Amino acid sequence: MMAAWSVLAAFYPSILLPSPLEVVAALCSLAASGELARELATTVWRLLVAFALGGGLGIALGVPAGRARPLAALLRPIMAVLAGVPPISWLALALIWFGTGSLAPIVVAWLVAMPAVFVATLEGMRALDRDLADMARAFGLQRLDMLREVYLPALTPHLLSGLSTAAALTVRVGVMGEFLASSTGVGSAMALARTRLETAEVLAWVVVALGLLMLAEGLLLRPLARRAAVWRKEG
Amino acid sequence: MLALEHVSKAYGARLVLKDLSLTVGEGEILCLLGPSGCGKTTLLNLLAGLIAPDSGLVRRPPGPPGYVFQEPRLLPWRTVEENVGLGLKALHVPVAQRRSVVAHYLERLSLREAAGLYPHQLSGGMRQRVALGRAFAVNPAYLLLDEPFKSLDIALRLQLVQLLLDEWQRAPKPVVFVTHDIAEAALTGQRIMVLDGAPLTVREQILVDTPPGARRPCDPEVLETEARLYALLTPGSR
Repeated sequence: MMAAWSVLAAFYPSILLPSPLEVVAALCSLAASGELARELATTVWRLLVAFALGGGLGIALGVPAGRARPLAALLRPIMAVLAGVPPISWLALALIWFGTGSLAPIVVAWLVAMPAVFVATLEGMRALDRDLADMARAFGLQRLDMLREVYLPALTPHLLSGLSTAAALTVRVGVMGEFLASSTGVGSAMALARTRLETAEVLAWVVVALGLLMLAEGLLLRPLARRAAVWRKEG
Repeated sequence: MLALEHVSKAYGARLVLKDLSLTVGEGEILCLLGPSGCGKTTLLNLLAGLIAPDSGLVRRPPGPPGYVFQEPRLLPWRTVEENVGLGLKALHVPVAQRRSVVAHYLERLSLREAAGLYPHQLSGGMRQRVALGRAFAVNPAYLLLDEPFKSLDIALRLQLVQLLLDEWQRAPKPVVFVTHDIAEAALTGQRIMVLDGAPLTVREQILVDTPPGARRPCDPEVLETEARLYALLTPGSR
């Protein structure tokens, strides 16, 4: 892919398609100027807040909804709307309500990421082995022990896919939100580079966003998956 | 006191128990034999407090029972050691004491080497031994056994029946033992009920005097009990 990119870049002016080397150079100069660290820090805390809200509330609503059908019937359509409406529509509303700043990208990323976790939690609760829960009840396990010994471990495999989807959505929608509704952060820097026709810099920020996604997978989801795998596969 | 008093229980239109009264004596081993679906498991779940009767009263000693289910029902994400100690954890037994009790039963059930393994790494027989250890470890006021030795080979079956009897002799307590195995019932039961259902009815009751611990598989009395049970369970014996 890198080779194809290099070859193609040779035929086009760098304003349309800069070569990989130019992108690396742009990235280096962003790092050297301190711009990279500054914008990255802003984006990371925004995304973390959005992901914590989306993931936390997704689980916190999904567990009770999995136990009480009426609650699931109430929440499911809400989540479907949150997930189904194009993120850009939410962003338009958020811009009107919150103006530009941190709030719009955070709220939109949170709202778009939450349904993935909610649905995964709900499915996990549905798939829960009733016999196992009965056994635990027979042996006198109470709420907190029940959660720790039975519910959370049983939910982990389902949560993994939900959280992974949610993390990707948070990065995508969060950065998009910054692009359109903020004057700071990776997305906003990308927008600025675009207006200046600094295509190499735009691509450098794309690389940064990709890095964020990989970081989320590596730091958050891999360790969780490894823990879950211990009892499932030969280990 | 372990008893049902005029208990009825229905699932939808299907009446499983109808005005059933039953008392299990202090330190009595009661064996229940009967066709699948006659309501035995419902009976055990009522005695365990897992389900509530539609009407009537369930009397049970305080504290959770030692319940051994048809399937091992181990937590797949916990080790053998943690699974055996699950009930003790729920009872908030201090860690040190929990460890020593668990170690004792791992030893008795020949599971010491498997302490750190997960259920998927065990054979079927080992899993059922873990389930037995989990039930014994809480030193329960009563034991509920739902065909616990089904699908185990005969040698292991006899070994575990012996273990159950040893445990019971050490601390006699009410035991309700559901089984399809005539030999198991004849070896362990002080009272053996042959059931029909549903709704669950007691077709016949056999009392055996010789203490369970003093019986051997080929004792004349055991064989005679088996013969009576065979006769009762043969189709058309009604």
